[in-house]
Amino acid sequence: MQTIKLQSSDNEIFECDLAVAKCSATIRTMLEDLGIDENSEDEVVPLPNVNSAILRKVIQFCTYHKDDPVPSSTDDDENKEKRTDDITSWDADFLKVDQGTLFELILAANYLDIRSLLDVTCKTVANMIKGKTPDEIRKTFNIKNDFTPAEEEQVRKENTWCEEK
Amino acid sequence: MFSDSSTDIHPLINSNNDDLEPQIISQYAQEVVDYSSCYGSHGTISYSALNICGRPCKYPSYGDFAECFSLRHYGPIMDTEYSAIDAQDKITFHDFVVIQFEHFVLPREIKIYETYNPGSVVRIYAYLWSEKKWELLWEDHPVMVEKKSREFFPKIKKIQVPTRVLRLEFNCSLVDYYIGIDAVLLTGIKVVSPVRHPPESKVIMGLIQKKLENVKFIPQVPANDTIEDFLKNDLNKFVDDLRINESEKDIKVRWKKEKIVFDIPEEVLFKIMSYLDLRSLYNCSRVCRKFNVISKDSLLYQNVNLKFYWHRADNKLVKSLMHRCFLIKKLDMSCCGYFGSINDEEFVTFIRVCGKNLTHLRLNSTQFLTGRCLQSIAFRCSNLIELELQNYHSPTNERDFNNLTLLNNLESVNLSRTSVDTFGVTAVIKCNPRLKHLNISFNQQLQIDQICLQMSIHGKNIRSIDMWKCHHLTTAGLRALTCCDTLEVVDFGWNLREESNITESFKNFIQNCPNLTKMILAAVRGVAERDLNNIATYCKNLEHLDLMGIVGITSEAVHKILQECPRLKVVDLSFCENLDDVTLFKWASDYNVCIKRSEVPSDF
Amino acid sequence: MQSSIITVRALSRILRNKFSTLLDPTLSTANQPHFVSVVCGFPKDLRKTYKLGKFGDDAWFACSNSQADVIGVADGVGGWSRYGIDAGEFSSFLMRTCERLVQNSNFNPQLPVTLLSSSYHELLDHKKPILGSSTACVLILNRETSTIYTANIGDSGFMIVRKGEIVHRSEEQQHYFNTPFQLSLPPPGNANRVLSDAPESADTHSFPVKDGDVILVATDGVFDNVPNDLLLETLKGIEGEKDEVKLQMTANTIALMARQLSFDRAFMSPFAKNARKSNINTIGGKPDDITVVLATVNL
Repeated sequence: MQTIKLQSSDNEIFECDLAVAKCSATIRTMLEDLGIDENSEDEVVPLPNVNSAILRKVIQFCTYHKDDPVPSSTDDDENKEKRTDDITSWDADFLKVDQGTLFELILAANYLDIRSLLDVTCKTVANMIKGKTPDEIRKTFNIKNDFTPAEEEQVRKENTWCEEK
Repeated sequence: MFSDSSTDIHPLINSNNDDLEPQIISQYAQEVVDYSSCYGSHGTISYSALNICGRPCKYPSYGDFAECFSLRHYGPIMDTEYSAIDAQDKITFHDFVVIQFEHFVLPREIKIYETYNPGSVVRIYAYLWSEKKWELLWEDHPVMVEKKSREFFPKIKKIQVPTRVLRLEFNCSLVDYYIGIDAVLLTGIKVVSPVRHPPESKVIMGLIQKKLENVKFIPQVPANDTIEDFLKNDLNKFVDDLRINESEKDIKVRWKKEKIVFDIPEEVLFKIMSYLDLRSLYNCSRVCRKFNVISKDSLLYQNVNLKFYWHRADNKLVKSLMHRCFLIKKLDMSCCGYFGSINDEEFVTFIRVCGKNLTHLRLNSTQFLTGRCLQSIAFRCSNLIELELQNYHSPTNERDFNNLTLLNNLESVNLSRTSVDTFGVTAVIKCNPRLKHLNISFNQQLQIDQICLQMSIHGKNIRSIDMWKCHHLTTAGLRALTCCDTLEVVDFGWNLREESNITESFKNFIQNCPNLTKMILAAVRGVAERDLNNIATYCKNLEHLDLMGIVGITSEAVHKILQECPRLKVVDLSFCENLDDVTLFKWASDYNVCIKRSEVPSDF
Repeated sequence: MQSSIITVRALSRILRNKFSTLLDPTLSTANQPHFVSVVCGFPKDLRKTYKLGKFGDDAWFACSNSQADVIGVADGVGGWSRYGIDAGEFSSFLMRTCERLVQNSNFNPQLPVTLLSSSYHELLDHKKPILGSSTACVLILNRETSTIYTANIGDSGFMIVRKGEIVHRSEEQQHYFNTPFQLSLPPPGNANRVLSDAPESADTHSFPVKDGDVILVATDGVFDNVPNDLLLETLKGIEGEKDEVKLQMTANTIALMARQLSFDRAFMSPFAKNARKSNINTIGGKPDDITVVLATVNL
């Protein structure tokens, strides 16, 4: 079994299967560009944007999902009907983390271009937004209301239709 | 239609004596304001929407009665909702009926008398005339219920505003045959004039509410509502107010090292928002400036489904959507626009600005549609592939539909229960060579033979035709359809009335259309045994066959069809005399086919 | 015989209840023209189970809405039973549907023909195929105009008695002897073999009414067996009668008379007289289903 070494931003080395690492399109491209020989086990791929805690989680995710079919090109995004109620229980458990970690995972998935991880983390955040009033959304994500009173009034007017149940 | 005022007077608990004794009345529906579809045609009283009015005439009997209100469809509907995101959390509905009662009341009890296949009512709304809005009184998923008549008694929300108009929504995905509803009884406190009624004077307070009074917490919802509302809306605030020790600064420090939502790049925020339903998107635009900008991105508004928000959609919404929907492809505005909440001007402007890329447009049972709207659609939406206009009763005339000739890419058209004329339909057929699905059911004003003729010339791609209850089809039309060899689904229900012998034309038709998977011959009384034998011989791909009410049917003919059509899954043999249930039951399991048999208790 | 009278009593009670619940309680009809009506009858074959609204192959209805009181009878043509079709189904459906149309106010209260026509067309929309044929006679009392509007197809009919005289009597519509005009719905493929008259071919009349008028609507089981003068004698006695019980007794009397005379082999019935006019030598009554709907007008 071929393995590859991945180095996190805080210099920790993780060894994992090549197949698992290739879940990340970024790593896949990197390997091709760098022309890393499949047999050279000493090669280390540096990932300066991902810390060790997150990288560990990412590898865990990819290991579980390594046999998933690769989703086709991004054009499918428009045609496929989007849902958020199809998160598997394993994924849901995997994502039972604090908000900071969740966002880190999103950033990692984005940087590493792991489509399935990005999808499921985005869906999870979307589910956190759904059904909440603007006030509640702010509270959940600790967002400051930076509208001027005039702007706020204007936006509120557009929203009258979704006030109350 | 009559209201039946029972003169029982129930004094309220603890009511003050200086008020007049409030009068509780029960009344049956007086008239039907609107409905999406029903089994019967407009103007008849058999299986039609009118039967929901008045007192129940069949309950507690159970059966497929002509005296009750019956819907056109049953079972899961194949059409997908535009915008799965909006549909996934909501209980979808397929049909509705809006009924009016004689007296304004504060509703307290609603009873629905179901006389056939109960369990399909999913929502009840009340129209609050004084506030010009709809209030949801009850909602729940469709359930599988024991097949017997029942007095359905859902627990409705108690409101303090008078109403006399109710809307019932139906979801028939769990029923396996037609539903029947005999009457609706509304019980409530009678109100003389439709203004907001002051809350009932004394209410029994629960322990928690009493405690809250002591804590000086003022709930944001009126005291009458249940604890659930409080828990949902105010518990957070309540807990927040109680938390004294943590200072704001502490909170900020705790969060500083962790990633916040704005560390996420905009394109990913956009992706997150792409998973949000319409309402959440609008809520996001109120959160902060950044969210506002991202949530208004046109790419998030390619599939807009207002069917689930029909009771809230108004001109302001349409206007605000106009600024977001430049790239819109699929739009569903079914059921929107009651009582003037949307006018045709707004819609016309919307189409003018945003209609260029529209490919799918559903406007079933919309209330604001006029000839101008159709005109604007025809002029602007040249990319339209799917157009549904069911239940459009134009205030002008049939010429409204003439403009549709400008559309040339249509593949699916629904003109059921509209006032379209023959010219309008033939024009659509001529101008849209890629037409695959055509629904013109319930349009008795059409010359169907003409339409079939046009179809034979121009309809090279046609896959399904629905001409249920169009009435005027003759063997000439049937012969014309022989040329449409791509047909897969054909609905001849209640047609071919004058025809006593259809054998020649029918045989030619089915010989030339080998791809037929679904054929509805309900109440085509002239179908004879020879025709059934021909079906057995030629319709090898048949999966669904409806032979309701056929006079000339015999067991042998049915058996032959079951034997020779290997793909058959559903056969409707209701009201076919000369067939015995026991044999049919046996065949159903032998051939693994679902055989529908209606029942009407014989008391005449 | 006893059991029939009892069922008839039950019937009259039902009629009364129907009237009181149908009328809008807030709308007082006491000051507007209305019927007080009763019904009685016998199926030809007394062994048939009793069903509300039918006497054998005959059917009747009586109901009202805010605008009018309506009465109707229909006589199912018996020949269908030879082909396995229940001869009473058609007439029964016709009358039941008329009743529903009246209750839904889905008709023109001055045109009973449209009521019959709508009812007939509803047949085509019924899932279960209903075949057969029948005569029909419908009578509407329009409150607003205090006028009676009638439509009659075939040999059922009505009679109106005022001040001891027959002021109106419907005419039989016959194609030829014993073949009345009839509404019919034949099995598919037999349209040219079956006699079928359009609802529009009904005989229509209208006349103003006065308080106390006696109205008799009945099938040919009555008119073929009871001579007009005997009917007149009986009806004279209840002019202006508002008591339902007395009306019921009279209706019972007429029905019983018709029944007895129909089985009387020596009696020169109106039926026999007509037969002789068509060169058929016969005597005696004509056994048939009997339906009597009797009403008085109250202003």
